[in-house]
Amino acid sequence: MINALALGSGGVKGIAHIAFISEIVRKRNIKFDIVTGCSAGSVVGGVYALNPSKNEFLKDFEAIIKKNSLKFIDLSNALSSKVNSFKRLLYSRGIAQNDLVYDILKQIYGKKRFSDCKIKFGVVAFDINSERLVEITEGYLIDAIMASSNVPGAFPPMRLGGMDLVDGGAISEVPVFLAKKLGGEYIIANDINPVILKDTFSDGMDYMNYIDSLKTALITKNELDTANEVYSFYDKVEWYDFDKYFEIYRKAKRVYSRDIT
Amino acid sequence: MKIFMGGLFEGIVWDSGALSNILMQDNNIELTVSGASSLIGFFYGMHGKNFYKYLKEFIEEKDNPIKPLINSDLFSSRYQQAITLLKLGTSGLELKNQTTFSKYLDSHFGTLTIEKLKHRVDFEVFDIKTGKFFLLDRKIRISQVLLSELSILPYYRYTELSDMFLIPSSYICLSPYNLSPDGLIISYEAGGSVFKAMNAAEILLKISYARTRELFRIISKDIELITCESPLEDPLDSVAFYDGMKTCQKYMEGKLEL
Repeated sequence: MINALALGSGGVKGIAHIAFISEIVRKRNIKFDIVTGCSAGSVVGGVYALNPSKNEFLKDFEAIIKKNSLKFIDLSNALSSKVNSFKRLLYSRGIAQNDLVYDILKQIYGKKRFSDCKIKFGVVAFDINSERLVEITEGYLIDAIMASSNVPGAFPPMRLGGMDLVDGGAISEVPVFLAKKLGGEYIIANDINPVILKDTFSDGMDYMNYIDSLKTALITKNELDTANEVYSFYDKVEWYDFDKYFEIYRKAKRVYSRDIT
Repeated sequence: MKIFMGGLFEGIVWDSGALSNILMQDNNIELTVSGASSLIGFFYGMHGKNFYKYLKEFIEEKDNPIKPLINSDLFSSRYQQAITLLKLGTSGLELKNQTTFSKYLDSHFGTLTIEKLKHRVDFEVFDIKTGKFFLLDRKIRISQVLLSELSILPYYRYTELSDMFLIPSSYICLSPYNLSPDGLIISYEAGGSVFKAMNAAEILLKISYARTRELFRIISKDIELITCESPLEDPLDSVAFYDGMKTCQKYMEGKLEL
């Protein structure tokens, strides 16, 4: 049986994937042959694919987050300021520059390529020109993961291979289909951004974002329905609240310790 | 023949042409509509195959509050985008006054209900509180039906009805969501043009619409579809009506050959 892991998008909640991998490997003694990721799932998936024998890598990410904490604060401030956001939404292709993401991913992946991975690895991004999900399984990891994590609106689209790429989670958040395409026979999916139904909205932007999250949830469900096992983790934090990473990790550990049998 | 129609306003003229062509050949249809097509559905329900004449009159009424939805310049005017961001980001959930719209519909349609229509039509909506799609009860008044079906973001907020928050299904997935495999979808917008996004606001609008189209692709993959062969320069011009008729005729002839 070829086991595959599909890791979904969710910004800083991607830390939950680390807790998930650690728990599922510990409890099941399972070995994954394939990993696919979208956005935060691609960041964690890439690290796992390079070294699948190491199933606890919180410390690696912790070091990166601490080292770049000031940059994360700047990013968080830029994205949460409405005045700045509105202006940049109209006069640029993204609120913030994605140099920050690039610098961080460079510290993690350097010049590593997909061919350096010990197990099969693939990521998804979305091309805004052709309106198609793009599957990337070769080339430099940093380019692919950068494209897959490129939150639309927050950052300008990334130009790669003649395409304008943004976060694959813009359309479908957990790449189960890619895991199948890479040969996965038993697919375990981890969704860290499930939509929570609500009926109050802080303003019109919140309302529009909510309706769009319902669309994405329906598309993602279409993929999740084909996985053999689906786990989910919910935490009400903004995707860029990187200072909350440790609380998320601890909560995720509790959730997965309870849910994985 | 089971026919499903949805979409926003871009396809309302073309879709009307396609439906008119079908009605010239087959009066025995089961129609399910959502979004802007609910207007087509209503006027078909009232007037049968001559529905387009009445639909056109309604749309062209001088003070009809649906006009901003039809002639939207959200994708072409940066000024309009700035106003939209400012309004939605700092205050209400909508750009237009829904109470005014509701009063307009009440004055127009009074106490008429779905069950009173001469021809059967089903109206599908989406409840954002529960995430469920369903057909509206036939005892519901037409004014409430249209208010729900035209609660199109960012112009109008959801419509509150019987503890539900309703928006049109087609805002989510371009057509009614619950399709049957032996049905036929009419949708100009399924084949419509893909615009180029110039700034981050347009990128977000484009992605929102791409989600709608992707969901439509998923739900409609095994179902027959009539859509435009190429996007029209002005889909609201009467030329679109005849293009819809012509394309539908081609489809019908193709089907007869099968």
